[in-house]
Amino acid sequence: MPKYCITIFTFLLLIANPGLTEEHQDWSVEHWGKVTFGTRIFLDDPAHTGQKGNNFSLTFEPTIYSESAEGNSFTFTPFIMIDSVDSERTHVDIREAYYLTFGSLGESEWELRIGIDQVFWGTAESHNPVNVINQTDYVVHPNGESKLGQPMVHGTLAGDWGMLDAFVLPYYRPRTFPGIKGRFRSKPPVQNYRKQIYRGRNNIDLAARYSNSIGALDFGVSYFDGTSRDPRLERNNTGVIQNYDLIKQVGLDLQLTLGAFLGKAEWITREQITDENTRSRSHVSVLGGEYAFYGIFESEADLTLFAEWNHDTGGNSLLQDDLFFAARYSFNDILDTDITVALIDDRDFDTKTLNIEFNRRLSDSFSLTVEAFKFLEEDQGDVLSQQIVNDEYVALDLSFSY
Amino acid sequence: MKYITVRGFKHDVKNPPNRRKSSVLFILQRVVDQGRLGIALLIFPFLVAAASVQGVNAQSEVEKGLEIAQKARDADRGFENFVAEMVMILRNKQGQENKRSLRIKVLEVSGDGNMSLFVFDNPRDVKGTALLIHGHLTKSDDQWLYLPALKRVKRISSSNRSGSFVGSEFAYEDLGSLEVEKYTYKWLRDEKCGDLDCTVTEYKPSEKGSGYTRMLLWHDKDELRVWKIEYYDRKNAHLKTLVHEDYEQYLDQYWRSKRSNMVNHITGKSTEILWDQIQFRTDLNEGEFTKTGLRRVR
Repeated sequence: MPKYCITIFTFLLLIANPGLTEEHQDWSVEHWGKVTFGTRIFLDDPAHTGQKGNNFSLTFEPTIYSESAEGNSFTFTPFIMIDSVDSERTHVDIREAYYLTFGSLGESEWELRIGIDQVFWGTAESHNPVNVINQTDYVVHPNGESKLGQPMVHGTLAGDWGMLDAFVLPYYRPRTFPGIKGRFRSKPPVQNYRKQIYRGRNNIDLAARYSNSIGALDFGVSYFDGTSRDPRLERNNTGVIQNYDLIKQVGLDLQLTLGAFLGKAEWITREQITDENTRSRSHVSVLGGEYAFYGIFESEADLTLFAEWNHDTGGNSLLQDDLFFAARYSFNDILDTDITVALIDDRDFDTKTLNIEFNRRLSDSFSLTVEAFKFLEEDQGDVLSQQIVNDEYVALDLSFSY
Repeated sequence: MKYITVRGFKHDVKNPPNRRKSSVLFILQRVVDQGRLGIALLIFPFLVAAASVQGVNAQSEVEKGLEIAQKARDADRGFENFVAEMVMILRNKQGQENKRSLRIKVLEVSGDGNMSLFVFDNPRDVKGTALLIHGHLTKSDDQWLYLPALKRVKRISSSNRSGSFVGSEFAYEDLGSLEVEKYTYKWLRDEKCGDLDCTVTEYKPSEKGSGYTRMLLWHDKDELRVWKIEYYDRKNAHLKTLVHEDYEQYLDQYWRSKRSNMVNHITGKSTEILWDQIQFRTDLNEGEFTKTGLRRVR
């Protein structure tokens, strides 16, 4: 368990201590969580030396939540993952450990969160370039949706005029990458313990976001000044190392809700400072939408179609000029069954990938996810995707929630 | 707290109630059938008189319907807010059960539709998922969903009003409050419902996207409580029936049913809702019904 996490949590407990001892009866305690047993069956032999085949994993994510009569609360959510193959995938993190207090200030209301938390910004489905607060816990899933906990002080002011969030982020987290035995890695693997950070770890990151809903439009304008969450990977004589540059980023995310159609856009412009003499600017955008056919075929089921275009002038991600198409069929049955088929078409190369995900609840506590990932077309010139071309898989996750 | 239950509530769908003239003939026919010709002859002039003021009645039926809807709304005004816990029991044709439990908060908004917040406790995999609805009187509602696993607040379409709420027999539009402005009305008849005297009123949704051509509502005359709703689908087939039971009164004014059952006549499935821990005028504030408040939900 990272040392700083324990320090912060101890600090939080100390702040709360008067509340916990003097008015102990006013604090309710609740807990819930999820245990997932997962397996991934890889369809091809590994491409890189050292990589292994199928794996099993066990993840445990419990939450302990305590709330005072006034609504102030503590949330503590550790995350534990054990993998049968990849020692880098076996890891512990603190997803949440924060104290929350709020109140009103005239016509507005304020909120303060101190500790480790997760923050999501964005509207798109395939990729969220504006979502910059938390680092990606890449080893959990290559889709990058799992995020590491981020220490922060997060203040919010909200009123009729909209919502303003301000962040002080005093610590940075490097991205997790698979180890030598793991799949979804480069050759050689990205080293998890040799990172280079321009201007060092003492940099305190700052961020802010203004958001509002006006009629059918929900939008957010954000600013981030600090250590990039996207590593610049560099091959040197010891392997592939992660470089974290300083960035200044302005972001815009919006959603237009017009009946069954949702129009979505995300855009960032980023100035990246690699060292004193090297600066570069890049733009990343996602533009698209979804349309739902409710009660399709005279049934209770809904069919939702998604289309998004990803564009990145910086080349930090796999989605440089990619089209994303997806269809989700939600049965709207009592078991919440749904199936999603997603296709990503790389317009720079002839690479096409297919993702299929099936979700179904088995009981009040158990649920099942089956997922498949496959390359429909491979392009020898697409260096990045060639690294994972043998990593097509079928995954099965059985979760117990309590 | 007053407590009443109406039992033996009968279904009556075969009687086409929305044509005044035919119902006059129907009464006459029944009277004749029952061999009370003498009485029939005696009341015949009155029936003729009733039929002759048909034009006036058509107008007054609409007015009477609107009046019932307005009175029902007015009886529920001024509650400020209420919180409750709700268990939904979903039953399929074979009687297999599946439960959902959620917490509900409703805030009355003067001059606009109510705001509601639904927070799920069961099934456990959706624990903490929350739905925020800003109801509106004339335009469509605004809805946001909070997904705790992703920490994501997502604005969702409110045009899926006819869609099933979490796999139950309740559609989204069945759960919102019946805003007077969103329907047109017609009083159909008075009849007994259990021990009470009720009115039967036809509600026609005026907003696009409703799954119904019309609904029939049974209100008791004393307190304007809804005891039964029949839902007719887009083809005007009798799709569902909702029966409210176990009404309790709060703050000497506001009536809430503690047990409701929705039966789908086409699929044979049903959903029962049991209410608990109902409290009115709690100290909750408007801040809980914002996107910021939605993020705080646990």
